Amino acid sequence: MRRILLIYVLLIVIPGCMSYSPASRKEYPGIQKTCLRPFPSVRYRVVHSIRGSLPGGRSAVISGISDFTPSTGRIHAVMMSIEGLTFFEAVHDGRMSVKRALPPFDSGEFAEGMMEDIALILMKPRGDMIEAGFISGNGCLCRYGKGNETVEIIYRAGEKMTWTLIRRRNGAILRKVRMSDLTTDGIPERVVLTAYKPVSYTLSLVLMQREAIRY
Amino acid sequence: MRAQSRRIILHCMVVPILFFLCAWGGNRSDIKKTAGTISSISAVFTQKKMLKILSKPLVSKGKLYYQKPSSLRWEYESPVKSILIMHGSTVKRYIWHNGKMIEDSSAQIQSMQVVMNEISGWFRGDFESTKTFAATVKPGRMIELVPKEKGLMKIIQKISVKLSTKPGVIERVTITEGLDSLTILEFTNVLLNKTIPASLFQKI
Repeated sequence: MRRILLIYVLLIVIPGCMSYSPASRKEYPGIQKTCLRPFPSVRYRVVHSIRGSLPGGRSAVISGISDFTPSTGRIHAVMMSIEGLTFFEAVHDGRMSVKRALPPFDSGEFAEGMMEDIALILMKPRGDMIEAGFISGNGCLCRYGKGNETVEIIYRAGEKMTWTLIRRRNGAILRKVRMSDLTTDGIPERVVLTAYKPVSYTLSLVLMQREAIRY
Repeated sequence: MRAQSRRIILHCMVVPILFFLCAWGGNRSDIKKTAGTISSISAVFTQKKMLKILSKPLVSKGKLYYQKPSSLRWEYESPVKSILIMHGSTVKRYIWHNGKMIEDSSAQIQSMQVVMNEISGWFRGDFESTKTFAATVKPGRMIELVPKEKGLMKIIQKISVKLSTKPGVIERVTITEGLDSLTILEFTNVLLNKTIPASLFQKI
């Protein structure tokens, strides 16, 4: 009963708030192409200035470097202070290898959580596309599912094109990501990630550098 | 976060301290004698961060101002604007965000007081009793600083200073974190003992 209710909420109620109409299978490829515009298909190296806001009003600004390969899911990430002090460096290619981690970034949970956030922001969702459709105002929606997790991508056209990602586990929202201002090669210049569970925080990313790696 | 703040502040403070070392005639006994001759420093810096993950260094540019006994302004102008101001026992850090400077609340005053006690000793030319770095003179106008504390050594392996032929001026500082991680600071337009407006250490 609960599952039926969940499906009803996910498929009917929420899209209904945006005036949603499911697409035909024939229309899926075109919609998916729009949904996945912010996610490159080749290996990239990006540098962001990241402002993190934590509960209690604390905030910090750091630099983040990510070298990611969409075809394999490999991520090499570095976080450092503006002054050049490296806080954290790790590689995830199916398994986590932490190369450097200063407190308080030295917990395994932090590394896993951070890599998941990076994957959510930089690479197309894992799993198959299980739903696609149109929303009012020339927008569209794509929903991906894997196991007990779903990721919805909501594209809205208008003065500023935006992509909003919602990551859920068992129906509960874990993350929301808003992307906008794509560069000429499709990388978002501005990203805001809001985390809800297990810890709440917000990351505002501004793209400083990007480079496609084709070797 | 306190330990983290302390590391960041030490990372920034290394450079002004090194200018004091440069007044050094070449051996330790000169340090105390000449430490009192430098009362202020201003310089333009270019910071290059080199990491294995990068194909080319990350370059930042900014300005440094230091006024004895305990005022520092470390200002990044690009690519990210930020200002670290230390004035007496007050430490504040500001970051440019959404079109204005906002205070970064991660700096902790308690950590800074510990750092300032350390630095006060350096300013008196006292490097023997410092708990932080061991300084060695090397050939080729080089000074090498190695952390004494094991905890700090995991963060900074060593700091190499290249002195300019101009007395009292540093040409370059290389901070080695590890095999594949370096931060290089290069200084130009260095001015020693010029009047620096007090407002630079009080306002952003």
